[in-house]
Amino acid sequence: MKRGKIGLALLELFMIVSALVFLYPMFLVLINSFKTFGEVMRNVVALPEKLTLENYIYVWKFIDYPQLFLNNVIITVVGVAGIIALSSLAAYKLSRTGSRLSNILYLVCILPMLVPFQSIMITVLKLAKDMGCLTAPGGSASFTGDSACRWRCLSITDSSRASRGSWTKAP
Amino acid sequence: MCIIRQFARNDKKAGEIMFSMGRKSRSGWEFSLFVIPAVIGVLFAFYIPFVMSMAYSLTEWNGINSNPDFIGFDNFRALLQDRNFLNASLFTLKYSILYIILVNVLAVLIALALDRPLKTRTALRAAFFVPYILSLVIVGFIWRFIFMQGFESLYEQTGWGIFQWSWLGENTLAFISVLLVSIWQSVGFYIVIYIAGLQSVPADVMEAAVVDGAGPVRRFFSVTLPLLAPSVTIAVFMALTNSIKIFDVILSLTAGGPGGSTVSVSYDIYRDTFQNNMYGYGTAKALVLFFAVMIITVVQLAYFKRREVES
Repeated sequence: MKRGKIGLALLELFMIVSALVFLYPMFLVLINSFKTFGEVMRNVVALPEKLTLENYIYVWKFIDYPQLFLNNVIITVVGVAGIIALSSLAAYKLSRTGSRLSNILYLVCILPMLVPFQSIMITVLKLAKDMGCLTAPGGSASFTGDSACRWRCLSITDSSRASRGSWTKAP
Repeated sequence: MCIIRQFARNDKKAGEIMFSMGRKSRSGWEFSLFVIPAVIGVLFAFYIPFVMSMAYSLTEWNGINSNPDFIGFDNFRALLQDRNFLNASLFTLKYSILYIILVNVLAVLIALALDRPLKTRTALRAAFFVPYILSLVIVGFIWRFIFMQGFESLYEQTGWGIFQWSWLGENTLAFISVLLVSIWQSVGFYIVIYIAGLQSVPADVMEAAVVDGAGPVRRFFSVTLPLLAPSVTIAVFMALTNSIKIFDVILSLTAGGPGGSTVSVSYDIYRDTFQNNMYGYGTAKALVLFFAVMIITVVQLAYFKRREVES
């Protein structure tokens, strides 16, 4: 048993070191964000000589950070709300109904998952433009939500089927 | 397990009988009320654009002109002789195979380690998941900075030759960089899938294997891996679809360079469509990509599902 404990401790040490190496790039970016430009050019690895918030102030003003972040929040909130509302409704009913129509509609919903977004992005863009969705953030949010909707649909149907125990493996 | 499944099946049958008796019209209403919103969503997000893509792939269109010229299958014919597209396909194929194998092997190994009763287990799991939260474009910029400025400083400090290599300036190394960065970003996601799978491996089966005198390696290949099969199916599926679609990392890390050696199929589509303004040709390429991806994923899913049933 003692050998097992030492092995576990060694494994733990090894994993901690790997995790630190794994996260080192993020750490580098973090410390460099507090340096002045000249300092970054001189030495990337060294810790900042004194903390400066100049970079943050510059970015906040220059790219209008609050506005961009607000856009992100709108897209995320509307998108996620849409996904949860639409797909849980559909997934619930689809998994509880055994008819052929239900199976076909289930396939209709999950088939788009196989498609790389790039292969339809050009026409999605055009469709959104034609429908006048691109000017309002809410519009683009609804489109983001739609494409993610297909994902949720699958996972919720899967889990509700599994929880009922009626999950049939490959007919 | 078996009894529960049987019970559920009976339950389902009863439901079907009730469904066919008398309540049909009400159930039909209810059914469409629940399902139609999602179907409409999918219709607008996928099926309508998809049909539009099919139409545009038969035209020559610059994206501005309101009347695209119909040219039949000329786009597809031109595609067969397109060297850029061929090279991009080869790159994507090579990248996908290596990515799927490496990311899954690595994720299983880390998940196995993190499934042991380590003291810092929670913190370690979080640590490996952190890069996955970042957007891929940002990850590309971060690594571009590290490969260029970061490695230069590290070389000055340590003197290790590995930091002096031109990681983004040489064909093979640039390929490895793209691979490395994508694995670094996404491995946490696959670790989560595998940890969830490992937790569903029943303890009694494991104990029985220990009692039978199976060593750790034997235990992994004869007990853990077969029981992990559903997780493997899902993880390989995700890795496959994600790696064939690779775009963001290339855009911000190498921009297809050096000399177009890291151009993937979707980056090629993006270049032709939005930079060269060949919308019709771009959609034709996109359709080819779609059919290729669909065939490959269907084959993969069918194959892995069959293996699952056997085990």
